[in-house]
Amino acid sequence: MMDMMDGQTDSLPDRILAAARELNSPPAPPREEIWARIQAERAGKQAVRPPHDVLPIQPPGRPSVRPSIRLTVWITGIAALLAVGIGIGRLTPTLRSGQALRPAAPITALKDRGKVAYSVVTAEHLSRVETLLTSLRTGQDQAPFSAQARELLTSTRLLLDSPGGADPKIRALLEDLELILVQVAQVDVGHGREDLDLITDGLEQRQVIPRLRTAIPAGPARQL
Amino acid sequence: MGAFPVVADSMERTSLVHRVLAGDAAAERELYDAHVDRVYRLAYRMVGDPDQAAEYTQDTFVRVFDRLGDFRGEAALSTWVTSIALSVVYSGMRKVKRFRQRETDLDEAVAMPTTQRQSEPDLKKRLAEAIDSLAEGYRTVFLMHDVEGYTHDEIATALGIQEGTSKAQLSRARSRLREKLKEFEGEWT
Repeated sequence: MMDMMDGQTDSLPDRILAAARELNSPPAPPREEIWARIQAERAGKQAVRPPHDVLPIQPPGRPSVRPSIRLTVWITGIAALLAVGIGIGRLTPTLRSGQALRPAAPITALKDRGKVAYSVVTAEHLSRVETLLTSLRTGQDQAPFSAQARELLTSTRLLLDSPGGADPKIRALLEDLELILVQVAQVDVGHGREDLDLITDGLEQRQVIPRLRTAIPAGPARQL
Repeated sequence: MGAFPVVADSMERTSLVHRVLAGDAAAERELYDAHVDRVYRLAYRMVGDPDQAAEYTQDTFVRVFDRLGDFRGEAALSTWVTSIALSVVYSGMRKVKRFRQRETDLDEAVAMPTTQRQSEPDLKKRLAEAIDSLAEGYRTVFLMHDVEGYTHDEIATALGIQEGTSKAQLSRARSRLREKLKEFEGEWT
């Protein structure tokens, strides 16, 4: 998989790439026209801009670094649980080869445990994403959103790349979430309200929150 | 590195940023000249329309100058500018998409432009449709890497994702394109 993902080994044929480069081949930019518009817009903004002698008010509560640390701990936990799941999966063939003392029942149990581990981790991850996306919709301070989205993006990728991620419904949901989290991660602090509004519109159009809620089981260890 | 050279080195870049922040109008123009082609090319690749590309380029530089004080030099200035450009383009594209969804009937009535002067019109038409049908993230990474020549490091920094994610998205984009262009396979082998 890594070979396929190094950007070289699965490269498209030269003919296709050449055609792709010819498509929408950009003309020279109208430099002076754009520059004049930039100058005009900036001049207009400066005329109505308030003085910069007041520091922005920090939202009350814990410092913004805390959620990031908490999320890092979560990601480490997710990675560890996935490693256990993968380990169990790898161990299964060894037991099947005849070294096991009680082959039939334990092998099934180990396989099930691998699936359960993946399900638990996925459910917890989806809950965290749901929390983030719900906060996004309620429209509070967006500063921590980008950092949280970046952290959740990492665990989304871990889950997508896990051998346990075979369920097509969950996979499709995780792929959608990956794209949304990329967008949230890009939102700039202080100027992102409009971007966030557009992202939340997208969430509604794609029914992401209802799909998330359907995918998250009611009980903590229920299989997805 | 992308298709265009960025400002020579980090010292020069820092000096340029300081000059702009100090209100040097010539430095503003210098910064604009150094990055406008790259921003416009990327915007054009993403939207395929010169007016929209110019509008997004304009918005990008307005934001760049507004927020240059936030630039900490952790990434190359060109990458920082690219990340702002992508944010502007994504935001603009979503607005256009929303507008188009409201105008579905009109959209259906308008035929897709199919005039291709070069050879292989069918391949190009199909390729254009295939690229347009890619999910936003896959499409961006494909256009940036395979078409515009950005590195995974630049893409990852600009999009705020891991380099591995950029590679994975490119791999998936290529795989989807192969799938959609399967009928041309015999011609390219």
